Amino acid sequence: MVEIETTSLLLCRLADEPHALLMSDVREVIRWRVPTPIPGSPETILGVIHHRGVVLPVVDLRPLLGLYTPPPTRSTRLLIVEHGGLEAALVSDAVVDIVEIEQSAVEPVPASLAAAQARFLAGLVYWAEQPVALLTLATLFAALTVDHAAG
Amino acid sequence: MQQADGLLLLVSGGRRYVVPRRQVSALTRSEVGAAAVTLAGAFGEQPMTDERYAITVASQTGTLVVHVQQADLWANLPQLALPPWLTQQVHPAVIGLVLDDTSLIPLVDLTQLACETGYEAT
Repeated sequence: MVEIETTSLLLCRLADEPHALLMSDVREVIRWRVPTPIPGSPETILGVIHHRGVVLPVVDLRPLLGLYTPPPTRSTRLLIVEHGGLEAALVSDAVVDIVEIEQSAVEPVPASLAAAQARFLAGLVYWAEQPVALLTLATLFAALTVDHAAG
Repeated sequence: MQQADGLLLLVSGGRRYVVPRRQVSALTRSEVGAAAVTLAGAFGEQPMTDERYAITVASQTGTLVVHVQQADLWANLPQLALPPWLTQQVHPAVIGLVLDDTSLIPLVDLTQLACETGYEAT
């Protein structure tokens, strides 16, 4: 019997676009909470929240991905993620589903995609016959901590 | 979690800030002149029209007067640090956070703000 390796993904929407995150990076999903703005923060850091005794930056990935930024609604969620020792709350316009996919089903990022956005994607997966961008927290966090510190 | 010194809650540009009480030498009500420096303005944000309270800050370079909408005396509150990777990216005068029940308020070092903004001594 051949064992098929699978990966668990959290499917969410950023603006109108479907995106996915590795469930292993997602610690919790909570309702939208207005963050406290911090003077001088880059546009991707909306502020901070205090959650379960921890100060978490609220990160808006949409500008980094070239997406528009609709205001929060009842569907808006904060995805508490942890990767490489960094924690943050990512803004998501909605959480859609948690799915299990075969690792071999992850396709490479199309070469036609702009490099600025492609660097944040680990690949493409298909869900309900729709392409879904699989985000990579490693490069996203690197952009947040290096690009902004330098700029 | 540390306890902050006695604090002043300041409101400017509609946003809340806290500052250590010991940094403020005077608090007066005054008219907002065109040249007045507001706390919100010092952070590059939009001030309101009712920034009528003037707080005086003694710094090494002189005296800085900053206008705010509201100033309240607050007791000690728990003080929290910003996440280390965020510290480098925010205004240098933001030195931490204060926890007020469940909400966070930026803790501002007014003498650092005076240095950063380069205001002339008055």
